[in-house]
Amino acid sequence: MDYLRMGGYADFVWPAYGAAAVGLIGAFVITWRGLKAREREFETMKRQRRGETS
Amino acid sequence: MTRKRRRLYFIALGLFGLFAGTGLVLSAFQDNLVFFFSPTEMAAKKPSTGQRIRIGGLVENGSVNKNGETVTFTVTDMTSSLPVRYTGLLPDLFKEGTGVVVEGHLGTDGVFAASEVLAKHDENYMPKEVADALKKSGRWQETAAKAKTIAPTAP
Amino acid sequence: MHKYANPTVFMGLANGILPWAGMAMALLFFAGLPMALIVSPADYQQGEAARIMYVHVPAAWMGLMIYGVMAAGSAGFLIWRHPMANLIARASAPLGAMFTAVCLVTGMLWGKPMWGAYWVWDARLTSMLILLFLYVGYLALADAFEDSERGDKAAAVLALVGSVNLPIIHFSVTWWNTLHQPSILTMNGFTVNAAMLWPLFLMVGAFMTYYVCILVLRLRIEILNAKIRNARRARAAEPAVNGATQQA
Repeated sequence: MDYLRMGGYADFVWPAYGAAAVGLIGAFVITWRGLKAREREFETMKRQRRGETS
Repeated sequence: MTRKRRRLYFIALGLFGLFAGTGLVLSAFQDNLVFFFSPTEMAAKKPSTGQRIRIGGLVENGSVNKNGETVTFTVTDMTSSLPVRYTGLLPDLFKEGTGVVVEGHLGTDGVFAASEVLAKHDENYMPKEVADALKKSGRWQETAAKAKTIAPTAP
Repeated sequence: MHKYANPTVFMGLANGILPWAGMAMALLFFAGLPMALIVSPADYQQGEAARIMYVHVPAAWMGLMIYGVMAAGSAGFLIWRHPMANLIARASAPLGAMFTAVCLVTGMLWGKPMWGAYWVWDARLTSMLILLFLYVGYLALADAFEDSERGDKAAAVLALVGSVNLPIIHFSVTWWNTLHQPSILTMNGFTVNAAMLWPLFLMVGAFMTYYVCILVLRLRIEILNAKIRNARRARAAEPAVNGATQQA
């Protein structure tokens, strides 16, 4: 398809958008996983505390 | 004076000193911070032949001559000009009337022997039709004004 | 103003903003990406390579803006000891580093075909690389010390000192001869044609709202971290209170 050739600049335009996508999606995935891991850690901690006091 | 206030003054004063000091240092090292000199600046500096230097300006209209792999052209800042010889691939934005930075040394024959040619883009973005219309209506940016944006520190 | 220094109050506000920012981000990307990649015209000099600008320029602006947020947060932390200001700075740093890296990579990919070189050591490129190093330095310092309070202070000082680089980056193209083109924002407005300016603004908006969304998520992480740390500290102190043997 002619559009994908980007007027001969395909080797530069697509990697540039790829790099931006990797950066933005990567930062989101790392953040989301980190958040879920912290939430789990916090939950287990709360449960342990309850176990200790009861 | 509360501790908060004292910390505020301390940090504000520190930052002020830091900014002022950095400004002084940067202006002292002006010559080492510019990426290239204009042909006028080079004429004033008189670099020894063989000394590696970067010169920037506009490619003079009608000055580009291609001879096989070798190309000769003139770099100008509208005050002084410098003939340049270069062998190799040219970047896509290299064109007559647009900005260029050449790296190399001044030859004994007064011609600048470039080992690298970099095209300098200006800050104007527009579709081709708009550029054509501007040229047709005569509102196209003057070359001299353009040379000023290529090398802002040029006299 | 100072009531937002309270993490509970602040996070209530931040969590309320999140769905709206998320929706705005989705809309802006949905409109901005087709505009940037398909609808916008090719440039009269750069051709289709000009499309790189639509990710490069917003990434550069975000890299600078987030550093400003980080420096302001650090100042708020050092002067008024606002815990929330410090958390905002900490949560922003990785995002600023990411945007700066995206700016540098996309700029290199533009530079090769247009200038004829991926990289040159001119004032703009060099000062932007220093910005990335400042972010990396901040991140390293913020996590370097066991005692997180000391690490936070050292990192905040670095963030403030590094803020001297922001005007240098912005004015580098006017103060010195650089290969990088001057700013598209001049005294007479933008030097970009409207057909290309709108896609650019949409992408700037998309990146901004993205930052807001991820920042809120990262703030939740920072707050959970603080809670977990405090709970651990409290538990470590308990056995001593109960008279049980405790190892240092």
